[in-house]
Amino acid sequence: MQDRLAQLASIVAVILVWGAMSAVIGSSILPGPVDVAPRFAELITTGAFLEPLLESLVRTGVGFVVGFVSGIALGIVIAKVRWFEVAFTPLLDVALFAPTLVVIFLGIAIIGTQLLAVAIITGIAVAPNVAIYMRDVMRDFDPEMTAMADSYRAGRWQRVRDVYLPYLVPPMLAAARIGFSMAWKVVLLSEVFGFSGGLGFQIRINYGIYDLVSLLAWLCIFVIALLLIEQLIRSTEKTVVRWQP
Amino acid sequence: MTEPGHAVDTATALPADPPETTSAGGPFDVELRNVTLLFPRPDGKGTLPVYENFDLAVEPGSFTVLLGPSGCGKSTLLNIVDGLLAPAQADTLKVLGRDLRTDPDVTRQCAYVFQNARLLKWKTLRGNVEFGLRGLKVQPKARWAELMDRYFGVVGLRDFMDYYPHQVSGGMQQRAAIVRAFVNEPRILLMDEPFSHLDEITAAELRRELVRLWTQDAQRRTVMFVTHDISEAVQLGQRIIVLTPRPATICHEEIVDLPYPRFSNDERVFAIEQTLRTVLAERAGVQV
Repeated sequence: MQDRLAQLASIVAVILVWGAMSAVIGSSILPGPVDVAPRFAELITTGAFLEPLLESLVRTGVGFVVGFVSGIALGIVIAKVRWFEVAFTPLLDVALFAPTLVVIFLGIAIIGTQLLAVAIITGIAVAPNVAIYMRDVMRDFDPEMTAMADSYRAGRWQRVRDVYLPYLVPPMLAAARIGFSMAWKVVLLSEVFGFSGGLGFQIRINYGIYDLVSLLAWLCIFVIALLLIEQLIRSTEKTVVRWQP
Repeated sequence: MTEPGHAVDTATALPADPPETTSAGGPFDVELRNVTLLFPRPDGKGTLPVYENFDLAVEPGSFTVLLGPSGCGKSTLLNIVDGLLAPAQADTLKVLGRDLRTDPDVTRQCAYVFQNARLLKWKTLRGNVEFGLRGLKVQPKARWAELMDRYFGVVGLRDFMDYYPHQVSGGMQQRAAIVRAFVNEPRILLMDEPFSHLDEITAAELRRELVRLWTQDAQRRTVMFVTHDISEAVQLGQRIIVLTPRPATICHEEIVDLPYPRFSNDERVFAIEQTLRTVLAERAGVQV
């Protein structure tokens, strides 16, 4: 209960700071929460938010799955196979530090504004981060646990099910959280710069006509959706890893 | 009155209280002859001999303590017996009369208790014990519940079987690790300084429980117990083997013919401890 109140308090604080900034700067430059609320309510009550939100969610989901799955696989293989690590680490570094905007422009230019482009762009943005995280997690695995499993003659399947998988689940969920928030942002940027649909597209057209109230209302929908998904992942985490202190 | 503690010359001396039964495969449960084990040096240049032409034989049902300075290879010896390490060369490498090299499955009849409890933190104490039962393929499966109930009961953990390791104390975790080993009803129990990370009160309690567990069965299990604690060695062992620093050799054996429980304030226990201190100082170069 206390946690919920603290979360609520932080959201209220952000809204208050936003309102204060708007009052100082002027609502024509930065519309405040009171200015944005009616437009936000309109988007919600008319259901106008639904189609762009779903479009963005599908793109994010596809891109996230591509980036997450390939990142997990890459991280585990890099941690386990020496030659693979030698061959792939420089490529990972390049992908990690490649400017996301350049990747987005190149992706859209080469593949076009299709779902495949989003999957590849988001995959390139998400996979290296997930891979490096998982590689480090694999390296931290306690060799004493392997010795224990050796000593008790645990078979391959028993090791995977009882030792490795439970060890990997919490970091995988953490990687999912990081990966999803990253995919969400990459998709939004891709939509701002090239796609004709989704939340990012709505933000772009409203910016184009300088309708800052609508822009901020769409941004609120983006943030709320992100928070809800984050909450969903956290709840899953709590259920799956209830053994954690 | 017989002398309670006496030194012997050979590495294959009989324990003080030899059991009536012997293993099916021969007179020894563990038999190592001419064993040489080399570890690669950390810089990759050459090897480091841990054992050279090492001999050891352990009687069935005996409680053998391996005592020696840190890093001399005591734990390594347990790993060889458990099949986790393969020596570079050995004339004989037998467990329960079967050759480890041709019949590695024989080590399913061994169970290991490590220095740290090494429990899987995502499993309850019951789940951890089941992990051992499943790995060692203890049959029939219908007996698992009864076995767990019995051994958890002996160590006073029956009410804590469904707790996760982080919810119980270090001593309770180590008790669960002991249950994980005993519940498999192994012929050979390998214990690598299992109480060294515990406070003295808990360690003393667990030593008493270990002796109770070990003595309760009509056909006693063979125990190989590693320690660098002289008092612990005398409190537990029927036979104490003192090892030198690497390459390890047996520099002394002590047969302890005293009833359990043994206490340090018993002058006979104290006398044996003194003997071992002198041996460690003179022959193993360790001041204790």
